[in-house]
Formats: sequence, structure tokens, C-alpha cells
Amino acid sequence: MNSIEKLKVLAAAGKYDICSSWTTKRKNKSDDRLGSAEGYGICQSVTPSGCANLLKTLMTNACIHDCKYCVNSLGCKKRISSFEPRELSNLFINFYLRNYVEGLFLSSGVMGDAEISAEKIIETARILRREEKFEGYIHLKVMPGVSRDKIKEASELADRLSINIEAPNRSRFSELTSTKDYKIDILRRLSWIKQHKPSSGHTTQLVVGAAGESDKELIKMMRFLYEKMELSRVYFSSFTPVENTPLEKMSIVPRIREHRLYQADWLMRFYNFSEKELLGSLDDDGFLNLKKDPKEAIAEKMITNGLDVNRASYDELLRVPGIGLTSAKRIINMRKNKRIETLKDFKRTGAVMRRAAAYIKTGGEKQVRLNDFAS
Amino acid sequence: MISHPEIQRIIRLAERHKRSASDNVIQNALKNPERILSREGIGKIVYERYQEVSKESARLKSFTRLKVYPERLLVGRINEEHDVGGLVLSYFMNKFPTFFIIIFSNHCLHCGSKKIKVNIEPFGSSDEEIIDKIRKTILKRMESMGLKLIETKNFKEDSWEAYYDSQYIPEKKNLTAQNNKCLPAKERVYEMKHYLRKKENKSLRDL
Repeated sequence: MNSIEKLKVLAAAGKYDICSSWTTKRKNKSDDRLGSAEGYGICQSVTPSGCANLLKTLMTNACIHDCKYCVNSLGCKKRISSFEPRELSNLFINFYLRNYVEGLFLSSGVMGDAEISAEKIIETARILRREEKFEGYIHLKVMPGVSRDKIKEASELADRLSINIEAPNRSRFSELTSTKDYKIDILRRLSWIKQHKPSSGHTTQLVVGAAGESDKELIKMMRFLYEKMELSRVYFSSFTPVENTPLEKMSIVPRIREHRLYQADWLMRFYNFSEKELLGSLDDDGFLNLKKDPKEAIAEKMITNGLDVNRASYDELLRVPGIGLTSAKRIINMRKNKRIETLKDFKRTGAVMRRAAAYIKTGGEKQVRLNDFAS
Repeated sequence: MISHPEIQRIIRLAERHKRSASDNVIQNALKNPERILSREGIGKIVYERYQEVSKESARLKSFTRLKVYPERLLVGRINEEHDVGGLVLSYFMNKFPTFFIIIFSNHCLHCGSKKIKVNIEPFGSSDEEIIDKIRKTILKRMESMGLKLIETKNFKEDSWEAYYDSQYIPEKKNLTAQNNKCLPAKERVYEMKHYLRKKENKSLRDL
């Protein structure tokens, strides 16, 4: 198989892994380097299904694990292929020099032993960092069950590490695979990554809907990961049945569910919403309302009388739909000089009027909603 | 002299707008710089020019593909509306400090390198002639600097297309998001060839 054929097979096998970051806090060391990842955030290539500005591929698609949702799992019909570290690093450098990609995202199936697969990934990063003096972005996947030494070495070479936890708890995880142990192979490795602190942090990915889990379980796990494991980001991937896998006949999970979970994630990370507030917006079965933004669902329950924008604190303002981080700061600054008397004054802060108007009071008056007449 | 860093940044880019060379908008706006920050009156015009220039600059940094020559030479072509060739050049110079960069634009040629310092007179009857001239000069300089040639023969140019196609997930198709990423059609020849949005106008029969 030539390198193009390998690339076709291995890149397609790795396309479901998610990473939306490609910059780092690391500073460029010298002018002898190749590349840079200092705060540009430029997107080189956009496919109809999202950005493709990292060379995202697997080292090999052979795997000893039996994850039921995965196209590379043991027993699935597939054309097996592998890259050698030097072959992949050459290919990547050629893509990088031509400005096709901004960084490398490298994962692998577990071929025989996790240590061997991890060594191949690390060897590729080692060639790039030490021989090619590459200082751009590198994201490496950590194999389940890999040793602490390998994680330490990977965290020194890569900007970001990640290990996919796939499911929100042990029982759901065991429905998806029988060859990995949730606590030992995944959570323990996650805590090791936390201790070694890669320069751009570490992330994980959850498959949404493959094991029949509820949003309640996912939100609880998300809070645990941010608070205890100090993750930079939790990614969600709505389950898509793939041919030749044991779950190929399961129905596709709507993309809007993934979107609502990301909205909840955003509220938790940037808007300081507590787990209790988010869980309060779930229905009786523990699912987010697919037709409504979680922030709006929470506001409908919590803000009944209209919030006085002249007196509300920063955190209270953040709980109003249509008011974001920037507009909340602008409101605080604006009212230092004068009271916000009219909706016209309020509009100048950049808040989204059609969403916010029903929940706020300016100059002591509240915009009336149709629902108010109904009640 | 303006000391506010944000105004300085806005002015620096707005000056590169195609209309800024022929009118006095920037000079007039500088008489009352606070209006630039509040985006009122003439300040709004300056701000809009700044946005247009910075968008084009970001787009060209993203989508300018470079041709690699073994003599550590990277050549790109841009089709710019405003005077952003210098910005694109300095972006690539910082990204590839041990390479010599040439950017051919509509109006002129931008070239330079952070590390390879050479005296070049980039004149010639064609682009190829200029590139050949520069390659020879750099090759001599590389020998004295101890830099190695780059291996380009083993790379197949259609590898990228194979990779690009492999990344498409039909279930996540979102053409609106793709079109919102500052992607003018002229900058994405390959992408447009394969994933052009079909006309979805309704006919009377559909109704």
C-alpha cells in the first residue's frame, strides 16, 4: 500500500476524534525552528462537516479492543494499514510546509500491546520535535492501559494529550466494550495525564447515545472531569452507526443533542452555572430539552419577575438569555456613569434584545410576554 | 502622536485599505481619535476599513498554499484587494524562519526570510525567471550557513486531496458553517470543485 492509500484508510478511520484547538501557550524557543503555534488560531481547511486544519490520522487501524461503536474494533471487516513514524512525520512536514494544516493530531488502534502503539506515536512526535525542530501544535492520544513513563514522555513532546472515556460511568462503559477497565485503563490514566500537565492541557471525548445514557449522567461526569481531573475541554460526539460494527443497526442520535450538551458545557465553564442549576433544566427522564437552549430553560424557571439590570450583579446578568460575557461587562461599565432607563440604552450593550427583553427590567419596567397574559 | 494601542492597531490596518491611499479619511479621523473607538461618524468608516483588511489578511494567511522548492524556498500567490501582501509575508516568515518566502501578489512581489539574509533584486521577465534567480542565490547562501536542502521528490501533490476527502463526515454536513468561515470561492478551488452547493431554488412544481 502506498502512502496515499494508507492516508485514505487511516485518516478516514480517525476522523471521528474531535479537537478544536490548535494553538498553545508555549513560546517559540529560537529561529532555528520549523513552524509556530503561538496564538494565531487560523483555520487552513474547512470541509462541509467542519474544520480540517490538523492532520488527523491513526498510526494503525488494527486494534485488540472490541468497542461496539468503533469502526476499528476487533472483528470488524477492514483493510488493515499502518504508518511508520518516519513516513508519517515526512508526510506531515510536507503538508505543513504547503500550509495545508496547522498541526498534527495523532491517535492509534492498540496493536498487541498498548506500550508498543504508544511508543510509535511518541516516536513520531520525537522525530518532529527533535530532528525537524517542529514547534507547531501536536495533539497525541493516550492509549488505554499505557504506562506512566509513556504518558510523561508524551506530555513533554505534545501540546495536548487526550484519552477518550467514551461513557459517563462504569456500567455504561461495560455495555460498549469488554476489553477495557473503566477505572484502571481510563480514569487512572486521566489522573496521570493531569499530574504531568501538558502545555495546552488535556481533553476527553464522550460518545453521546451509544450506551443509552441520559444527559444527567453526562452532565455529572462533565462536572467531575472539569473539577477533579482539571480537563481543558470535554468533547461530545453524537453516536453515528457505522457499517460493519455491532451497533450498525442502532438509530443515529440527533446532532441537536450534542449541540445542547455543548451549550450546557459552555454554561458550566464560562458562565459559572452550577451542576444543580443545569440538572434543574432536565426533564423527568434526565434529558435536556432539544427544542430549547438550556440557558433559556433555566431562566424560565428562575427569573419570574424580571431582573433589574441597574441592580443585578455580574453573575445574575449572566443568567439572562441574550446577555453574554462581553455584554454583561458592558452593562456593569455603562451603569457606573448613568442608569439604564430604556431598552434602547440596553441595546447599546450588544445584548440580544429579542431573547433578553422578556427577562429584564429597565428603569423599573419589564417587557410583557404573551405567556404573562396566559397565566 | 496616538498612544492608545487599540487605535494604533486599527489605524495601522485601516491604512492598508484600497481606498485609504486616495482619500483623507484616516487623516481626518486622527484629528479626533476617540471617535474611532466609539465608532461614530468618520470613526465608523475607519473601523469598517480595519475589519475588511483584517478579514482579508486572516483569509490569505489561512488559504494561501505554498509551493516548496528544495532550496528552502516557499512560493505563494495571492489575489488581494487591499495592501496585505506584507502582512501575509511576515506571517509566513515567522512561521518558517529558516525558509525564504516569496509571495506574488496582484501589485508586486513580497519576499524575505528571518534567517536567510541575501541581497536579491527580484526582477525578471516572468515569475519563473525570478524564482530561478532567487533559487541560485539562496543555494550559495545556504552552503555558507550550513543549511540542508529539503526533500520534495517523494511527496505526491494529490495526497492533500485524498486526506481532505477522507475527513468528510456526511452526518455532520453543514454548508452554512463552511461558508461562514471567511471562505470566498476563489480561495478554495478544490473544495468548490467537490462540494459545491447545489442550487436549491424551488420550482412551481415543488410548491
